[in-house]
Amino acid sequence: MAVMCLTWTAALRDVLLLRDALCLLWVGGWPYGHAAEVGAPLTTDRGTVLSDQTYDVVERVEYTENGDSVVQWLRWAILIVVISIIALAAFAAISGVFTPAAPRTQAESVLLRAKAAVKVSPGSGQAWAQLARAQYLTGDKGRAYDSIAQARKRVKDETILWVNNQEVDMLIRDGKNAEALKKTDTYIQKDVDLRIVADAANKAKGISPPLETQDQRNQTTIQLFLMRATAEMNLKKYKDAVVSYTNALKMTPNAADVLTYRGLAQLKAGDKKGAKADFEQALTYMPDYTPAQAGLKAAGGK
Amino acid sequence: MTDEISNTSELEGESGDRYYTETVVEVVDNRRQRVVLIIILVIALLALLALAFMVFRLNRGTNAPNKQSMPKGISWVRSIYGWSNSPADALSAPTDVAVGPSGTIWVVSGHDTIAGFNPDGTARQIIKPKGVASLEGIAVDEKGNLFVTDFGGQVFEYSPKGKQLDQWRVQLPNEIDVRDGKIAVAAANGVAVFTPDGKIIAKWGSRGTGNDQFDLPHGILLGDDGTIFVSDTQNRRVRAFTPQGRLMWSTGITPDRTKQGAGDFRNPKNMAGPFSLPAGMAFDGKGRIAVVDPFKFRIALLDPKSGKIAREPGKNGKQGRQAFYGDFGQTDGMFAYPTGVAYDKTRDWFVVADTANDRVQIIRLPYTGGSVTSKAIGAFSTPCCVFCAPLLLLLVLLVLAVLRRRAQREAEAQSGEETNA
Repeated sequence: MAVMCLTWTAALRDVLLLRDALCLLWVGGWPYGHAAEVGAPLTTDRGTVLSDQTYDVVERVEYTENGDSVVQWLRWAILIVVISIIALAAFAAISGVFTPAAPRTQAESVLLRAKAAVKVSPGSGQAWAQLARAQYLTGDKGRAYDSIAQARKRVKDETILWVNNQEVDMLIRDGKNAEALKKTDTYIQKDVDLRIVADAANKAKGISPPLETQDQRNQTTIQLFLMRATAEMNLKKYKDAVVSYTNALKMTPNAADVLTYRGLAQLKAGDKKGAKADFEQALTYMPDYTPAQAGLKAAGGK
Repeated sequence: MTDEISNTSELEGESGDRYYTETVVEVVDNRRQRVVLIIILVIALLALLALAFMVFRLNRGTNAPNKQSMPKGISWVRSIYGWSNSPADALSAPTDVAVGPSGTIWVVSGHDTIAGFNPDGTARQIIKPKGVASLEGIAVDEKGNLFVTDFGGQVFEYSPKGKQLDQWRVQLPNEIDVRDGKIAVAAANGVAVFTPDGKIIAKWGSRGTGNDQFDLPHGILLGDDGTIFVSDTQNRRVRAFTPQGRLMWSTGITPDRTKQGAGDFRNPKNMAGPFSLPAGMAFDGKGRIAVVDPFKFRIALLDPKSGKIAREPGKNGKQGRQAFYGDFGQTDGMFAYPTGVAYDKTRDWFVVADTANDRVQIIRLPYTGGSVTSKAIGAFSTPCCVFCAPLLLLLVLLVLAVLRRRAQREAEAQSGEETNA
């Protein structure tokens, strides 16, 4: 009972405070007036008004004659804007703008599916990594890195390489090139280690994995080298980037786009001859590949 | 607030048997009061603007595409991915779309569901008919009733609430259109026209590549003069027929099936014509025919009289580029094997069944005959209008209240002066 009384008193106080605030805004004065006590004589510099007529006078002062027209208009404008803010927020909340009933863009749809996948198989690291990607693309960067950590906890096999790639990709997109570069060092080593383990296991079993699996596996490594090269390019370490591209090309020697990237890196590093060779080679695989054509022109070729 | 009372004058009068004193007090406006109020107003206005911007951004959805990221001519309005936040309620390979009289967007999804959406993208009605094999095409009549083809060999009529009204048999029907009491059905090997109660008016065609033949037509359209437009999908041509079935024009290059590899889409020579696989059709605001091509990932606009590809108005009275819009991609504003299209005349937008992306996209194209009113209505067909409209109303009411109060005060002041006089 006592608590209830206290709550009610507090609520009443809040209401009174709100009234005071509105009064201050609306009529420009405290509701208690300039002459605080009813019945007290109003003092001015022109003498004293008779005390039994003071009450009427005070009323008139406060509520009708306070402030000039500019002030009045300002108060109206503020009130309208404040009510607009409240109405806009309320109706936006009602019409589901803050919490949409269904996805409205591709990113939201991908996020929804990724969340569902994690719900179905919470133990799958790949699902978590996919969720991280979706969260990153919808602008939820903090949670994206958390999801990567979750994925890392759950992955035990070679899928970890894919998770690593997601993380490096996010870091580069965030402009954290130095950190990305540092991480790729470890991840490339991890890749090599896992390859050795897998090869040994396959040899022991006397099998060789199907070409398709090998290709998928190589793609992950190539992607890592390419991302490393991108980070190096962003940090203007062009010579290092050339090395990274060369590493990628070891696995996919005929990739016109990678050759072109290496050509561009060599061009930046000042090796026009090497660049020209790369662009020319790229054009033998894809004769109408415009970036290679433009690169060749820049390298002084035809 | 530190108002200063600078001047007091007294007036004495008699009211009944009681004396009262009216004191006119002039309050010198404190400059500080104005400054404070202006600061409050500016802060409040900034807050309102920030909120409005945030609501606008949220309303479009995260990562909504900008104009630069889209193919030339296309402006994206919104995408519809499903009718709830559950993945089970997501659209799945939508095959066809139709627009109802009040702008309702009807979608055939997953070959077994008919989903109705409001123009703002929110769900309206989900129909899951029983005993259907593979739903393909959809059309809506003037009353809002739905006509749906089931490739298993049926045509169904449903009320907007999902009640089955009628049903009749047609062999392998793909696409359907309804206009002025006529129902045209494009089936795998021909075209048939029915009355609303399913009685046949005309039918023609057989399956093949010949001049009077069809090969899996996936689009049909009834013109206002009774002309029937058919996109003869596998024959890669769009054709116009008189109501009796006489060929008027034909656009597109039909592959010679007797040659080896003529149907191979990987060969660029086979993709040379204006269409690779013309599918769904719709009339735009100017009465031109929009044909969606899933293998060219684009919408083409055709002149209904000649069948030629329409052109955009160019500079200096010359003709501009051909009216092809769209490109392949997964992001919003791009297409992946789109198969159905519909046009909303009131809102001047196209609704596209973007099949492989599992979504329906609402887009606008240039020069489609939309008026300023249609653009305004279109702009307000968003969840935005739900709060913009009351907000505007509120502002109008407030302004009216202010004006009324002022008028009242003036009247009071005048009557006061008169009394004093």
